[in-house]
Amino acid sequence: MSTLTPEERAKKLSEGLDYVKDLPGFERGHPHYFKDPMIDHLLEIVLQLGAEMWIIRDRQMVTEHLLTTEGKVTPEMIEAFKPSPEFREKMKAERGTYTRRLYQSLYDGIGPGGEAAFVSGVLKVR
Amino acid sequence: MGHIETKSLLTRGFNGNTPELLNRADEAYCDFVSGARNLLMYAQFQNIGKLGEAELDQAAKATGHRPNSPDAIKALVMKVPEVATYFRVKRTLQESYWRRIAESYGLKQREFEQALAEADQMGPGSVTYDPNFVYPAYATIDIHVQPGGYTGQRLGALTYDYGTKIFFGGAGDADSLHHSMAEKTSAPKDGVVKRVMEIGCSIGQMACGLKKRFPNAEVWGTDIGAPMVRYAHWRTIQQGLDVLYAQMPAEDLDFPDNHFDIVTAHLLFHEIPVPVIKRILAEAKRVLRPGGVFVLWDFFSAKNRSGATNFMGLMDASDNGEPFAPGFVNCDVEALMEQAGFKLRSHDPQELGRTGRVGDKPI
Repeated sequence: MSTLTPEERAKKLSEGLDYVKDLPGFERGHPHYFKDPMIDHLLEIVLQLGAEMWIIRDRQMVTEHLLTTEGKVTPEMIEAFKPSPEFREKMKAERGTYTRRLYQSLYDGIGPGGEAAFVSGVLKVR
Repeated sequence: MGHIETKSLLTRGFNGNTPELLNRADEAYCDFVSGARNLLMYAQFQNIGKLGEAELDQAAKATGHRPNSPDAIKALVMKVPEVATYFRVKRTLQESYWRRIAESYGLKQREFEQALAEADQMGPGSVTYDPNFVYPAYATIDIHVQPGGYTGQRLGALTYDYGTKIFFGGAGDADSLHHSMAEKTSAPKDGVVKRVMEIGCSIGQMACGLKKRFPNAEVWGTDIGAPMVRYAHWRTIQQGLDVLYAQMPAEDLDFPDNHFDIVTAHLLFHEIPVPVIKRILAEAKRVLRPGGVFVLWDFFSAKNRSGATNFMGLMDASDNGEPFAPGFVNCDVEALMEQAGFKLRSHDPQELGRTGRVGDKPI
């Protein structure tokens, strides 16, 4: 165990690191990307609306699925619902179509691009 | 061995090893964000990088000067509407999922805190931490713009767990990414593995993978963040694995010399300043036994990356809570490992991608 007090240890761990507070990104900030910040706000609102609309669509799909398979539906059944792999894939495909349909115009100038999953720098060469 | 009752806490159960969010609406929201990231960010990464680079090249030709500060780069590249859109979408989606996850688990904040407190006293494995620990400034940032980062919120690690599921866009579900890294982590050349440690272990995904890979070894997970090691222990108990967690800065470990056979770090170094990286390498060498091995999994160095990737990396640093990543990718960490006294098994980028950077402590 360290024999230093917590404050002394923090001071030791911080030696030579005063510069880090000046690095871009050290403070989270509230960046905007368009000359008119209102465009940033509108894009944020549009994305939030898309998410909230998807919640309703998701609930509708689950409700229809439960009515079809169980003959009834309750809020508790919706909360407890665990989709099968097939149903999960169906929802994922539906979500992809929905997202593309809503937002395809954002990148009109450069093409839509296919769906791509995360590939880290670690995995890229592999 | 203890048993943690989770049914009343996690009414919707687990998704792999990650607690489900507390209601269907929150899960659907995060599903949308995850899919939107894949479609609107990852799929456009190369396109946006090229557009931004073209703008920077044009400015360099016109002025003879290529900007390299994030502010100057932003002033130029954000004139391109698709580039501005990409970074707006990225920042919004990033902030959205952190907020929604924290709100969801926050519905049972007190119950989660109680569960962590109970797990503190249970096995298998154990956790130690110092409630009075004072964090150095570099460990207090909002990494990936997660509010409170890895150290500032009591349930921050729980939020981080679900957040990484979204971040990896489904590529790391059920800890598959971390476990595959553990499977590939090199052992000492003599094959003797009695003690293994992951430094900067966060929520213990890799440490659990290492325990599965080396079931007879004593496996440690250490992290500077108390919220991380406490949650890692809770999460590991759910899996019935015996891993020892401790809050420790990786540059100041409470272990004797020559103690471990393997020390590994997974996606840690790009989150810390270069001077700390140097201290960690010295400390890793100290606690490894002669013939022990240090394995580093992290981003590629700038020398192995394209210019477009560098531009995107700079933007990620300034606007996605990654202030130390540029320092890491430009520091030639292989050289730093050699300066610390490790003998690298390979310098070939292809090999480094497959095995991580592997350094043996000379006998």
